Amino acid sequence: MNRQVSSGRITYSESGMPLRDGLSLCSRRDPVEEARGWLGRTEVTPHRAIFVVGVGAGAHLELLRRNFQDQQIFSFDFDIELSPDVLVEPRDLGPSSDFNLVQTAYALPWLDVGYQVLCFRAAWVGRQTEFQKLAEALLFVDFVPPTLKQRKLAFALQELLA
Amino acid sequence: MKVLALSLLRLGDFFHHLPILRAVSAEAQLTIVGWSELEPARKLFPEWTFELVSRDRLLVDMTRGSHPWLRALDQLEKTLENVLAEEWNTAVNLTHTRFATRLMDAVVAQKKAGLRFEEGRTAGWNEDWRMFNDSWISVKQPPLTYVDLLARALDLRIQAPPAPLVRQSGDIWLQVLSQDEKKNWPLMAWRKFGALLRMHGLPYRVLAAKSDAARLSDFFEEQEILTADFRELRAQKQSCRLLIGVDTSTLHFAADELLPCLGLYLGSANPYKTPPRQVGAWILRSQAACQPCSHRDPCHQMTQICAEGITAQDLWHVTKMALGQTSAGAKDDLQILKTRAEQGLLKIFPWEGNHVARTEDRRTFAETPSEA
Repeated sequence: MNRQVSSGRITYSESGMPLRDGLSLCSRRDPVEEARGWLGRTEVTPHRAIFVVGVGAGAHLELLRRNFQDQQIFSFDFDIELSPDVLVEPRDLGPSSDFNLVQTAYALPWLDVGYQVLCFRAAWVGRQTEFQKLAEALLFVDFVPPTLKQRKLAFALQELLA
Repeated sequence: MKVLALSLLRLGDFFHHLPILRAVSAEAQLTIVGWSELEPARKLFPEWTFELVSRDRLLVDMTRGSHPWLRALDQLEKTLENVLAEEWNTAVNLTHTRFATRLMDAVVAQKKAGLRFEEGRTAGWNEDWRMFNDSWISVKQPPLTYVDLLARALDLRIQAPPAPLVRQSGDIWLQVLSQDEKKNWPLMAWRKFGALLRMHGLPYRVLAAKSDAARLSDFFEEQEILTADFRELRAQKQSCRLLIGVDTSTLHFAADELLPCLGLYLGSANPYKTPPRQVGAWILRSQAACQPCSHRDPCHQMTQICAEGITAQDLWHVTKMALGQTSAGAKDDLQILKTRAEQGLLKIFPWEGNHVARTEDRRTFAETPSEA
């Protein structure tokens, strides 16, 4: 294939690798080796769902699914062309007095079962800020508990780390 | 009347808390909030309600950057749902940690005792708590034991029971393993001690959790090992003549169950703070300058000199005295121990009650062997 297929901001290189605004979303040399390296550096917690932020070429998702067949794996991305399991609109991460849509629709239903968020940063190229915000939303980084009692418990939990 | 008590430490600490828990729960319904390692206590004390929190699960979600911390909050809230929904007549914090202090803030109670966070600051802090805190953290020989300092800070009067008379028959129980390696005496030394007991016709059983049985089987015969949980130990306690153990939850459970006790205090085990709480219980400890060492750090000596300083013969001599054997041979035991104590190798004393540390020095075996 000696052509680039344009699809919004996502295009594909001659070798079929996805590009965002012309920037590669995975290693140009060896995406599979890159995925292996990423997984080698990643600690996967058993018995939990896995939320992967960033789809890119998808080699890391394939590797995860092959190695962790008993765990449910969901990929999150902003670009429909990359066929993520969960397509996120940037506005879904907008400020909210309570939870934002991503948290309500995807994170909270899995909270009881438990999940972990894995960031595949190579696929964030061109939209780093939004991806960072997405990961932080899934991890409830900026979440302030709404009730006083919850806030007191949250303070107690923080003391566990002291 | 409904009383809530926070006992968010380890199982051994919970057994220390028992006199206080009994004092605060007289004619009251008692609910105890603790970590999930208190699970065995739930079966031992069915008259009390236990709300147990898995600290490990909370920490997994709080410490790993890839996990949502909100799950820890969710778990904590669900586990303590009943506790947080209740209005308690009294809530008592027996735990001097910041987590427990903050948790007290979330509890609704007409009266709160112990350290707590309140209206943006720490409350309940007074001279007694300061003394308790200082003694616990930085003083090696505090004027009172841990639980007596705690009771004093809570304005409660509790008294240690007298050590029970040693039975003339039955097995000697040996609690040889602590989870904290610093507190352990080498298993080979225990084996030699077991051989001495056997040689003198004293039957013994080595207490073991199921997980320890395999490790112990390299040193003891299968029939010598008694694998039992706390309920089973309680059911069989009539067959125990004397319990000899390192500083573990089992030793403190035995002390509370009024079994005759002899504590072997090594590493970070401090007989001034956490003795087997019976007046007259026997304690043998090393006189190594570094002992007791810090709870948090591993042993920093080349070898565990506090354990090496005590021989199977030493423990045997003390055991004979604890068994009340006052024959002519016992005088030799006194002399041997006196010499060993003078050499600075060990220290032995019967625990005297609340003021153990103040009186221990003049009761040091080397100085007053006749009293021992």
